[in-house]
Amino acid sequence: MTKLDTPPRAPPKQFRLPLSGKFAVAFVGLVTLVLLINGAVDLMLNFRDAKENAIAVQREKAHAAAERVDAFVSEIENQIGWTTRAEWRRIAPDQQRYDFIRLMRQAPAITEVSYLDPSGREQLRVSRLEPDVIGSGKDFSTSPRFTQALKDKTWFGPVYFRRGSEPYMTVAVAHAGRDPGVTVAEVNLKLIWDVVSTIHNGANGYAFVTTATGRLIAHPDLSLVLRDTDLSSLPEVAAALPGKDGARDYQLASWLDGSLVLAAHASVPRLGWIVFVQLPLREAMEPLMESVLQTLALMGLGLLLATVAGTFLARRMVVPIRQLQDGAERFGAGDLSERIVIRTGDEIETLAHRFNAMASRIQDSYETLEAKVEERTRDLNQSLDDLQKAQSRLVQSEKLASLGQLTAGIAHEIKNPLNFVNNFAALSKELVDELTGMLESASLPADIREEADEIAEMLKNNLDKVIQHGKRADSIVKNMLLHSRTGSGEHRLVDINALVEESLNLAYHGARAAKPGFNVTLERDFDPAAGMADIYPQEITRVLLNLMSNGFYATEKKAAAAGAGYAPALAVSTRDRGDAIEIRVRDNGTGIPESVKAKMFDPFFTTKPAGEGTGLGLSLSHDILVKQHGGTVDVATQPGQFTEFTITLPRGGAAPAEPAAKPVSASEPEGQP
Amino acid sequence: MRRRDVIAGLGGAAILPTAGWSQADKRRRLGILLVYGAAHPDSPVIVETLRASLRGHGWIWGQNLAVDLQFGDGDTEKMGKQTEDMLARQPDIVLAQGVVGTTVLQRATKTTPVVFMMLQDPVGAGFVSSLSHPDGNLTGFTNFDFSLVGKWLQLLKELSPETGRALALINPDYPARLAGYTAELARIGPELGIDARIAGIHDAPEIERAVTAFAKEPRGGLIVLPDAVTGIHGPQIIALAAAHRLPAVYAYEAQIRQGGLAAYTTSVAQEVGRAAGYIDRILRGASVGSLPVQAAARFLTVINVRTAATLGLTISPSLMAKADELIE
Repeated sequence: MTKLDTPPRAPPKQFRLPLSGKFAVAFVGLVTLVLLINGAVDLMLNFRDAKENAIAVQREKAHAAAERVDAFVSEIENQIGWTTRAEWRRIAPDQQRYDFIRLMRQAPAITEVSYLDPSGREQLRVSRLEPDVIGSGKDFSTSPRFTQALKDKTWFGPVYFRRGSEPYMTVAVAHAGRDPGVTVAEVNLKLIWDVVSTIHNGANGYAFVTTATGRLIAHPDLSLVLRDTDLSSLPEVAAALPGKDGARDYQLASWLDGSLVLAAHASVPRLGWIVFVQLPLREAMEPLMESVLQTLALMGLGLLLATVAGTFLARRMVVPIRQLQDGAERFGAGDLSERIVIRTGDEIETLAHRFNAMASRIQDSYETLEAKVEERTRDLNQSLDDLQKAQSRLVQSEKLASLGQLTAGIAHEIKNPLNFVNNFAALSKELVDELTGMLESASLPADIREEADEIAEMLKNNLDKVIQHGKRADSIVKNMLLHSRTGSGEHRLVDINALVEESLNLAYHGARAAKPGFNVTLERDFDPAAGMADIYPQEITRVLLNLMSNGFYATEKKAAAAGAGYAPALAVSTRDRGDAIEIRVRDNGTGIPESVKAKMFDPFFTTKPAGEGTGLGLSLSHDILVKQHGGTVDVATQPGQFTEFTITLPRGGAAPAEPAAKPVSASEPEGQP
Repeated sequence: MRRRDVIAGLGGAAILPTAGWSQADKRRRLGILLVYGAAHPDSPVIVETLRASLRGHGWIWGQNLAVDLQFGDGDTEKMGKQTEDMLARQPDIVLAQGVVGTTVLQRATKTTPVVFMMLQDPVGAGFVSSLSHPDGNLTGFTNFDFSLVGKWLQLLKELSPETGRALALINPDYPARLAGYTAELARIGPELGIDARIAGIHDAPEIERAVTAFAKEPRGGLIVLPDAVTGIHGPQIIALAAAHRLPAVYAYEAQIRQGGLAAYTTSVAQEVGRAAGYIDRILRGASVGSLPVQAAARFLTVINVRTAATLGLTISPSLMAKADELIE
């Protein structure tokens, strides 16, 4: 398997957010968005609520404070009330003074109290700062404290300041009954401090009171009051002053020291005073701030949790993916031995299993493929070899075929003249006999007769030799024809010894014909009991010729190497082995090396130089002996000493054998001249 | 975490010495110049009230507030010296009692904030330009008006209706005050049918001389005006009044507890408490000149019933009604 392409590396400059990062960012971003929206909505609602709440609370406090200030004045009015009974002016002055003293004890804010009789003259004055005066007769009949009190029952004078510092107010209450007098009290408004300073408004908020002109009357910081503070320039006070009816009853404003406050006010109608309550904006908005802080804290907590969870999940998700990636990279690099181990129990684990399965399959395929390739290569090589062998065999067959045809043609051509020679030699011999007969009857001198007889005898002898050698030549030609036939012909009972003898002669003469200087000692040891066997004689002849010519070749080679003193010999023997016949062909040639011995029956295997052997001889012989005749062929050899082939042929071995291919050569000539 | 601790530790170590300095710097100094001697019954009242009130404002004596407490014993010269020494120690603020101490301080410094108390008419004395806006380095609390002479005379008359003469005792060294009281006595005395006059006194012999001389004639009564000398010599005046069977009206409750007949007075503790409030505000950065002078608003009638009985005086129901406190 070839190495997979490594994934293209991104340029290092380009920032790549890892999957975990993307996941975490997406997760945290989503949570943040939700929290932000939630927080914003929450804050918006809270802000409105808090503001409205704060304003409502301040407004309520302003009204409560106004009521308390009103109550303070009402209390004084009530206290004065028990000196305004109808019969009060008729009691003794001492008693009246006593009542006033009691009144002042009851109402510490009253600094001075006086009684105006129905004519508006002062009859009694009791003061904390001045000696008491009885019957001063001062005329107040035209003063508003008298006239207005008579008119309205109760009169509240304008606020005035003693020594430019302390706020005072005159309260005049008309007596009951007909023709009433008036009790007039000077009230030190400094003592509203007692009221105002107990009005608590949150932690740092407070109440203060101004006149209708904005002059400060009461404030928890008394020094502000005593300092003659005019607040009419403060926006919150200016807005509340009479004549600004349209103004809201609350205001966000800055106080004297510049701090922002939430101020609300309410008026005390019968005094014309305005009571303010104010709360530092920071404190008023504290619930809001708290809710903001709460929201922010929740958001922070949410973010933290989201970050932790996102990171955890991202890691949780990415770690197996990384493992998967590493595994895939390993697979990609060709390392298929390891497996990806992921135990997440989800799709990624399944994916890992798939990867593993894939890797296994690839590994298997890889291994099988290698084996197959090897096998195929071997097969291919084998096929190539076979092909090459077949090719050369074909070439050789073609050569042999043409050689066979050639030989057949030559033999045929030779046979006709040879027939003439033989026939005419036999005829000549008969003619010589006839001549001798004729001469016997003729009278001839003895010496001539003797000479003629001698010549006739010599002629007969010569003719016998011609006949003998003619027959021999005829036999050779016959054998050549036989050999040239590629077909095996018919099987029949054959005399083995004769076949062997014939083959030996043919081989020998063949060898002698090929090389005129060839010489070998032929040893024949034929067992007369060898008898007959049912064989394909042509095929067996081919085998024997082959073995014998090989033997000749071996002796020749050895003779060439060994030189004088070496007697080349080829021994051929037959033996009766009962159901089989044994034929041995032994030469004392070069022998066969062990390395060759194993392959010598392979087709096309030859040790001869190119062109001298086809490599088919032994192979064909083996096939003929073993496959065609059901016999055996064995070889015994010793390199440099001898080679002995032992053939065993069953006597009826050829019978069941398949008929060999039809001969391809032309029909044997019948010896016609 | 550990590294941060170490760094914090280093930072802390580096800061510690300066922190020590800044703490020393932050410690404020309060001078208290009392006209009374330590033995005066009001002295512990003043000191303890002040201590408690200041503690309520977060100032703890000896810790973040160094206190330089001086008793003048009514001795002007001594108080001048005390003031000099006190100012040399550079106090952040000084509390002065009465016109004597305030005058000494006003002369000694134009910058150190001074809170005065238990004095009358600071405008007339030139301590402040107005009650509402003092505009200087002094502000504080007044306990009485000159007009209260009328109340004292009336109280004397109510206690002893046959009284036709009255002797007002006061240190005459402060002309504005002397003039103020003199004018009020002249205005109100006749209205009440009392021939009232002022006796300027500086010390015990003068007091004895003045009272003894006054007691020679009948129908007399004493008005012991609020003053350092009368305060210091309270027991002697009370003894003289008893000896000469003179009804006497005082300006301070303490003198009634010592055996004086009656007083129309204000609460010293309340005034000291308010003064502590001003001290606190000034220590925290308030401008002295913008703090208005505050006057007392509540007055108390205190009568020593035993002394009255000794003098053979009966207390009328209206007086009884007025009395805020009866001392047996």
